[in-house]
Amino acid sequence: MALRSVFAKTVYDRRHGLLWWNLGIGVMTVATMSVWPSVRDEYAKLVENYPTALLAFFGIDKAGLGTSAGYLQAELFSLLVPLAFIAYMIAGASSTIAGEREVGTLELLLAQPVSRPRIASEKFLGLCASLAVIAGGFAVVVVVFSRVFDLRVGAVDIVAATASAYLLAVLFGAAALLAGCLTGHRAFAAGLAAVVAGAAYLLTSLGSLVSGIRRFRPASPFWWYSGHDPLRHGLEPLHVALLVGVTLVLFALALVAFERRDAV
Amino acid sequence: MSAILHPRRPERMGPNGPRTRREGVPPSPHGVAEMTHAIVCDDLMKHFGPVRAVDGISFTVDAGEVVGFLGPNGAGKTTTIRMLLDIVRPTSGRVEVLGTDPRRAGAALRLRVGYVPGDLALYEHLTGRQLFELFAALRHQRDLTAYVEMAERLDVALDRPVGTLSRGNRQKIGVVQALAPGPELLVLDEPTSGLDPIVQREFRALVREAVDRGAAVLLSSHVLAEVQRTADRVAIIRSGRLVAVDPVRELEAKALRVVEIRFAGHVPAAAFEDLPGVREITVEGDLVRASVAGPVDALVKAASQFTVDSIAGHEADLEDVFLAYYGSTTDGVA
Repeated sequence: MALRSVFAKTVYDRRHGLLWWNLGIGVMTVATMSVWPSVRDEYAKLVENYPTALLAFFGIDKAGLGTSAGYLQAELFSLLVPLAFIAYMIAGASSTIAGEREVGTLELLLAQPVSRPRIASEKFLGLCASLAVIAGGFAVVVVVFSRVFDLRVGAVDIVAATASAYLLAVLFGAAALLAGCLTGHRAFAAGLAAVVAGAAYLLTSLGSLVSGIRRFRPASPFWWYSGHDPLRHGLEPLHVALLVGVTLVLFALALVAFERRDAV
Repeated sequence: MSAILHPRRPERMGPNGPRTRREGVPPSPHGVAEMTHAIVCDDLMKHFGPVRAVDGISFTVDAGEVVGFLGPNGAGKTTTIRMLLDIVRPTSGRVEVLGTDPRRAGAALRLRVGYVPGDLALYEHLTGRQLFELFAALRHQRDLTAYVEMAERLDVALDRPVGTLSRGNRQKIGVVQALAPGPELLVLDEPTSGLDPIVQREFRALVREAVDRGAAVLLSSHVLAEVQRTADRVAIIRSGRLVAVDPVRELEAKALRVVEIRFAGHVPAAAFEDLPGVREITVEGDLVRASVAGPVDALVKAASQFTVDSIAGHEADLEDVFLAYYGSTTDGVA
């Protein structure tokens, strides 16, 4: 592969990781889905006995419990898949600028005739492209194996829910990029973005339990991801716009922060 | 700061002034060639919190010359250099590179500059060839011939991951990526660290070829001998301040040299008293040991009246230079 741009190098650097992430998420997904035919009848009853509060906390909608869409939502889309995507983006985005600053390779890159916004943009887009490969692979696996294991979920809805999780992860990736550009420290940037993501998740899940918090739920990116249950209702334009809009704002702030700082 | 030769030299020179760059300097409307320094630092400062890393530095570098940037580690060389590349931003003062402000000129300026960082860190999983491919592409070049030829001259393998190379070989990769594109300005921060003497000689030849092409070179080092061999002028920095900007010849004239002369028999101390240039001298039996600033002529002539067995001199190190400039090596004397 010819390394003729920062974007190409970013994707090239991530190629081995891509393979493992795709494999890992694929195995986890197939394992989860393969159980469906054997638990189909028991599952509804099993979950019926769980405390409502617990179900609500994990974003599991009682109405969908008997359905295969409800199963996929509870087992994969409520937490595992967004968590995996977010972890990938936060780890990747915090190591792009802050990580390269720490290992010292940023200096020679900045000395090249490429502007700082362009470096940050190509690195972030390369990361987003890599996650797109992972998310695309995941969606294909879910579509294919939902046929194999007789889960009745439409391909369009699977793609919609996956795309929604993808956008959520990109948002937290932009947050990690911003934190990295502001502080220059990889671990700090990753930690801060992870804390923000955790808080956003708690806001959505606790909001389902505690009435006092419920009205703040729409402020959480997790709500924009799953509040309208994309696995059954497709994408909600307002929520997509919020995910994309906030991502763009965070990304723009990251470029400004990077442009302004001493870079070593 | 009186020793600075031309920190505020007039920017405008007549047609017979110092040589102008071959390219990139458009003639002014009046038909008078406008002299643009390759580098201008004017009262440049960079403070990191309370630390005054660079504390008011002024010097210039012109096309066709090598200016050595000499100072001990931590003196502020790297910080100054990073301000030239817009990697670090000045706290105050003016920096101008190839006639432009590095901050504003950005990528377009860096296209004309080659840089070897002092703390060279390369992408270790990439091979030399991949690194050159990337850096050349960022310079809108596809042809790697110049890179490959220069790598062959320095004898470094291009098809192994850079991380598996020795420190010296990694340094060669760093040198090639800076010099191979043939930039107008070379900024070299401790470029020969880790290079063995034979490669250092090849490196000096490469720098000389770049200068003959009309390039300007700023070369930092904490080793006096390296600067002496490579540079035309020397800017000496210490604790964030410039001590002097002198032609190398003057630096050598001022530098202290330690000379040891062994005689066939005992010599009288009186024969070596009050010799011009001799700062310190001890006479012990058949051995005379002297610190000399400038020419050793008087000492040698004094010695010649006796039978000399051997003369040994060692090159002044950086501390000796500072001794010559301030008579002390402690900070804050300037």
